[in-house]
Amino acid sequence: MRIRTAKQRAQRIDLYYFTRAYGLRRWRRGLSIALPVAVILWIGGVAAAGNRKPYSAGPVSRAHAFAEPRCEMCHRTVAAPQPGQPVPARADSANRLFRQHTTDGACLTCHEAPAHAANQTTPPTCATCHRDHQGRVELSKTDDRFCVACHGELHTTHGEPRVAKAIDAFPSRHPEFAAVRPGAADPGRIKFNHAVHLKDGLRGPSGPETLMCATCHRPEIVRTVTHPKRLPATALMAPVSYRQQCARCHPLFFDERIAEQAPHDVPEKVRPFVRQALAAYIQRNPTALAAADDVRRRVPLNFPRPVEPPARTPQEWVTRRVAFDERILWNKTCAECHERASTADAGLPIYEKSNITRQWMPRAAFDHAPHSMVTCESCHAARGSAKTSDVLLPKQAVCATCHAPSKGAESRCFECHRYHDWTQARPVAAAYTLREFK
Amino acid sequence: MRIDASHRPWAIASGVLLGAAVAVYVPYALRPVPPSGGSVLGLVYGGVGFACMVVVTLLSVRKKFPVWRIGRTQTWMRAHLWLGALSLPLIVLHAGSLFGHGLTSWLMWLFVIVWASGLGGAWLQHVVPRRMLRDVPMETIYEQIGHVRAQLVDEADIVVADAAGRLDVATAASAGSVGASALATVMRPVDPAADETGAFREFYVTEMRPFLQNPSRVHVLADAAEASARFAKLRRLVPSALEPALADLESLCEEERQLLLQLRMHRVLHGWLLVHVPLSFALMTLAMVHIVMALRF
Repeated sequence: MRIRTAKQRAQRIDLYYFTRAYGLRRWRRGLSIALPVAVILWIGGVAAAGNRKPYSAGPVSRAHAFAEPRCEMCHRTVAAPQPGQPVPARADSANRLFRQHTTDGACLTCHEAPAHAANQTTPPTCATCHRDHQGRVELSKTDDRFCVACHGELHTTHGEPRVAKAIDAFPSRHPEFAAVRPGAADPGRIKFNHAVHLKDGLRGPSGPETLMCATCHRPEIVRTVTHPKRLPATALMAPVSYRQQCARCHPLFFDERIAEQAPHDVPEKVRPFVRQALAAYIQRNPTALAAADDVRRRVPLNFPRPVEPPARTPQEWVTRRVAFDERILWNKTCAECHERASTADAGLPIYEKSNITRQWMPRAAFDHAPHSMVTCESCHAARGSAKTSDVLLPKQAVCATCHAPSKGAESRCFECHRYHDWTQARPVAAAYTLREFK
Repeated sequence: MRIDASHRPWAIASGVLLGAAVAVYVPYALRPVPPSGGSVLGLVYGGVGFACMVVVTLLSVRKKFPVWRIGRTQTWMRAHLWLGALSLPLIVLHAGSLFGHGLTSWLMWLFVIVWASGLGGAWLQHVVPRRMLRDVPMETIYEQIGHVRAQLVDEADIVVADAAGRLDVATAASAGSVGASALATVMRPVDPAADETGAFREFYVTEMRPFLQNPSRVHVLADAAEASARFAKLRRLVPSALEPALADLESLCEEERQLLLQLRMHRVLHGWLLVHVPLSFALMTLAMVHIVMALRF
């Protein structure tokens, strides 16, 4: 057994061991100084190089990528223009304080952003909905929750809301389209029967023919509150025009003697045309004065007419013919499509305005082009429509066939709706030169 | 520091604070506007989290200047443990459960490493000392191990010299042998057949002394069972008069093995601090940079 004396035990202790840093402690002390110093040197180097990328909250959107190295383009305090005042050109920060957060004024230096609604309670800031530094995304594709923040429980500063008060996701908590709600009717006053016009073998000017949807319905560019500055060329269908779509099969001949058609216009303009045409005819053909009426008429006759003696003068002849032709025009030709409202003092009919709706959903944006792979009748039940009052727009459920969270097509609010009222857009003064981006 | 019943108030307070933070966070996260560090609540979470980080960092200052006596060291240690554990969830809530990009991302990962190393260190503090107490009864002061080892070599030389006679060798002082006997010698192996102590001395010169001078885990004497077998075999070869010396040498071997084990355990017990402490200082430096830049932009 090893025996140690007290002296041996005492000699075992190195009395000055604590004055030296051993192994782990020395390394720990050294690293604890070296690492923060390295961090400070790195920060200094980054600052000296003018590189602010380490401090970026993330890549900016695709549209802003050109300005990514220049943080100050957005991160500066600029007052937003007052309502009604012109959008100012770039305004440098009046007071460069410590905080350089983005402000609406900085956004409005380059972008126009018309207000949403006059009675909106608290307009959000630009950055509330358009959150940058989320990667190369499109900032205009905002999340639904920003819309639902107000429209989930809608309040206004004055007046009642013009839209449903509780709107959430589409289609689960979205009201039915206003145009197709129960009781909704087409306000148009043109008598039209889709079912007849879509039959096979219609009598056309060149023989039997079958009409297609595209025969009458063509796309048109429409500038409305819901459309952004750049408009698709196939956004909506243009209203049907008599001259382009109807005249081919529904000519406005009024007298078998006159080759011209009556103008498609109000009766106040049709009457003088008819009179002048007949007067010109009798002047060229004075022998027609003595000619008897011909029962074969170019325009079908649905009421009996007594035989009249020949006119004695050209004026009498014209007057008789005008009266007769007008009877056909007002009661048959024009009445084929137009609803008669009343009769004017001069005996001319007053027809109701056609009142064809140019855009059925003014608060939504729609483009037919991306839907061109789907047949018209998949969405518009025209073949079974016999009345003008039928609204042939699709219901929400039809759109939700594809535009639903589980179906794949975009169903977020921005797909159909726009926050900014682009009809109130004003031009933005150019604020930068190309040299500043080099 | 072991986490025992005395930590209960701290554990309860930390739990309550964390629960309150999460309870406030849930409706905040469900708002239309997603949570962010720059929002009012985000700034509150960040401020409280950073305050916790500052307090836990001040432990190193408190330990550096013990004479200041600003609170008990135990209290500081408890604060370090519990506020440190609380800081990460608060910072995660501050960040909106996101790791961000660039500097904020590096900060979060650094924080996770520091926090995890702290957790690991706390666990080691519970496990290793108990094992050391059980497996290293001959424990000495860690910084003294080199010094003690040198003394073991000298002590073994004396035992062998007393038992087998002085060996004819040259002199070389061994480093670190402060206060040791002046019998540090370089020994030559001798012919085992020359006398009855030959095997004894040969064993010492060729196996045991190298082990005492440069202990290694791969040496045969580093394994208790192997060493015991060697000594048992040697007992059969040497005369009974050398039994006491052999026993002393075996005891010295055991002490050397325990010093080896203590060294290893100490490195495990304190090695994690090489990660935890330097990275925490780097973390605090970067955190302050982040605070300035985030508030500015």
